[in-house]
Amino acid sequence: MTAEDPSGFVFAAERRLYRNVGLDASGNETALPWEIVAVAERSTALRPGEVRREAIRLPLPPMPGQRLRLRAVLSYRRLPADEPLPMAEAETTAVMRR
Amino acid sequence: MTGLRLAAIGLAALVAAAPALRAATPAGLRPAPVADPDDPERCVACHEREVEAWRASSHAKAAATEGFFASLHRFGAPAADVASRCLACHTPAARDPAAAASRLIAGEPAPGVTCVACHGGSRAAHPVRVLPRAVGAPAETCAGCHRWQPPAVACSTVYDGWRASPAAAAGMTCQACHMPDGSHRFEGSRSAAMLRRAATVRMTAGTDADGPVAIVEVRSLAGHRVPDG
Repeated sequence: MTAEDPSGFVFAAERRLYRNVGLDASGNETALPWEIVAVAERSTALRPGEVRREAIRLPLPPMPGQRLRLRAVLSYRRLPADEPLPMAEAETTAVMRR
Repeated sequence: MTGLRLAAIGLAALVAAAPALRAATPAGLRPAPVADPDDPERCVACHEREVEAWRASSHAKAAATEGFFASLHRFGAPAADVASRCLACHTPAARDPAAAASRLIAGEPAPGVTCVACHGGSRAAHPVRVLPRAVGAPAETCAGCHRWQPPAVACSTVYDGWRASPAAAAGMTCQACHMPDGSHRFEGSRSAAMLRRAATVRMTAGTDADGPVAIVEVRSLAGHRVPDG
């Protein structure tokens, strides 16, 4: 998620990661399928049909009256180094009080 | 003599018919059969649409991608382990798994998940006897490779997630989303259109003394975990 001004300058960004976490026989996190013996409880992948609500507060400097465009983009990466592929997005505006 | 004549007439009729048969074969189709009955090229003469779609699918490339070979290299196991732990899903029609594993380790791509992997049946009898159709078939058709049962390799865990899902309870199978209209592209997370159908995002925002607070609502539309594979 990002907060940007009308010119597109990004003031702040926050991220949430949804993923399955595999564990090896020692209980350590691993991404190698042949080492995985269990899926960790701390996995954050969305369950089928789940609606997940996230309250996100962006770390912004004081700028009273500044109108900001807030954008949330859900994207997919097969591997961390891959280019993100967009899945869905939403945007709205907010005006800073201070 | 009569027998000889009949045979000669039959041969003459076949020779005469051959140009007509060639003319009736649509351009681009290869005549069946080829040497290997598991080779999709054997199926294309009658199932062109399905084989052409399959060629572009991840199933066709299951033992041929850069990612597959990178994983195989990282796995670093001997051919016997590759044969027993990888081939059943990555090149299930391999006649000689040990030899196929050795060729893969040497970097030689192999046919991936070919027609018979899902359609099975009696290859010798086909096309006289129609093979089982996977389209509209139970999701169990996919479970062989898309289900993780330790100590198997956890390459794909999606089946059990689906089985416990509202989609499964409603009778939605894997094929309903991943084989629309019987498509053999098997589109999934490599498809931009499929990704667009998997989730929605809504957002509302307010501000307080510390700045804007956004409430982001992410809704999964998939019949399995997102992400999963």
